[in-house]
Amino acid sequence: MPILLLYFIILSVSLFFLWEWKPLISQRRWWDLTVALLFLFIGLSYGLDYALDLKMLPNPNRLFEMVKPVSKAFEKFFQVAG
Amino acid sequence: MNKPISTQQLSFMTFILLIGSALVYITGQAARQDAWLASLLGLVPGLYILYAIFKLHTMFPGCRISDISTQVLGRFLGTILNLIFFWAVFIFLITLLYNILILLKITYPSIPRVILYPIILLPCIYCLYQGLTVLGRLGELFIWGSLFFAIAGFFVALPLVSLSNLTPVLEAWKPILAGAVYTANWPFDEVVIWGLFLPLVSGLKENKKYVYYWYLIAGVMLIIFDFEVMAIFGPELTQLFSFPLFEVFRVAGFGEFRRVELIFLVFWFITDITAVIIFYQGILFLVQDTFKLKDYKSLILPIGLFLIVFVLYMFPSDLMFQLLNVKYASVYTFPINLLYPTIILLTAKIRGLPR
Repeated sequence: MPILLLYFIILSVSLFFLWEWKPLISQRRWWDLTVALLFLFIGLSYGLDYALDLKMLPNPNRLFEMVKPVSKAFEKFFQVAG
Repeated sequence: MNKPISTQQLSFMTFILLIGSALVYITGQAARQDAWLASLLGLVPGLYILYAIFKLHTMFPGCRISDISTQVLGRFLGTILNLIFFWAVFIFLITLLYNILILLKITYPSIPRVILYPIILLPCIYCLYQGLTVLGRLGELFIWGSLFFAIAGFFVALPLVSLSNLTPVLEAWKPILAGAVYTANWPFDEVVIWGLFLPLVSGLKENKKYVYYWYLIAGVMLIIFDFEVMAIFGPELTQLFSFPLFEVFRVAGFGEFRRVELIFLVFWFITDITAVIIFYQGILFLVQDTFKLKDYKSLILPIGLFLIVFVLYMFPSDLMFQLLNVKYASVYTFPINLLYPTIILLTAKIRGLPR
């Protein structure tokens, strides 16, 4: 089923080039275009990684794992059950 | 594109934001039968955050909090703080998206997540393309319906209440405090997002009290629902359900008239999707200010793709979501949302800004 994500990737990339590309180029907003393309690129990379089940990119959940000891200490101190 | 929204609309959106984010959950359930007390305590940090962002707005009129951050702390430190805040807002946004998804999964169990996420996000993208005026009107449009459903929900479930489930009161203070932290984090500290909207709100100076009023109304409603759910199911049974309030409406009804939870599903969906739009808009402002862009419009679609991909990637299952988001993320988002306006406000005061 993750392969279905490819349809949304194609849709959003197409819509971006259809709606945003021309005004950004004609107004010479190169920085805006670069940042938009950066987000598109990250989304695209992770999207393909997920859709094709490649597991090549670093998982952002690692950032959650960093606070795991704090969370454990919090739960222990405040006697959080469950 | 960004026409100002009125303070009244902001007040209504505050109500919808809080109700939409936390209605189906009992956020203070770490406090067990004292969940309602934990919610009452959790209300306070949100009030402080509202005060801090209003104060910053008075000191730096016309500036978003992310912009004030770089003005007060300098470009480097301000940007770092904005990026830390970005991650907290991002966590909230993907949590809201995930919440709608699992609600929709109840009615559409066979449709895969990969299809449901775009269905949720495409209306949000459309709404954002229409501009902030639409967001304000969305608040005006949904407020009375939301209020009606919230009040009706309370009365529908009232006959099932058994006060013995709420005893003993104040059994232990530590779980109550833990519950208060969880509740303060989600949903009450969410109001920090208004720091990014305030420059676009008209009449704030005279009418900001209404924002506090609607914040308190939403808070009281959530406390009442916590009270009601705990009184109906008790702490053990409540912990077993993913959506305790949904289960309350599933067992409630009048005579032959049952399955009222499906009516409330519409209410949850509407309020939840408004909360998603608010946070989505907030993240667009944040990225715009961090990268100093002229307009955020070109970011709507790329960030939409970014969001869907990351929510799928990060939360592939309910278990992962419960573990990572509910347990771990709170210890990150709670201090960040509380400290972000505090650090900026204190630094501005110490440095005597704006000169």
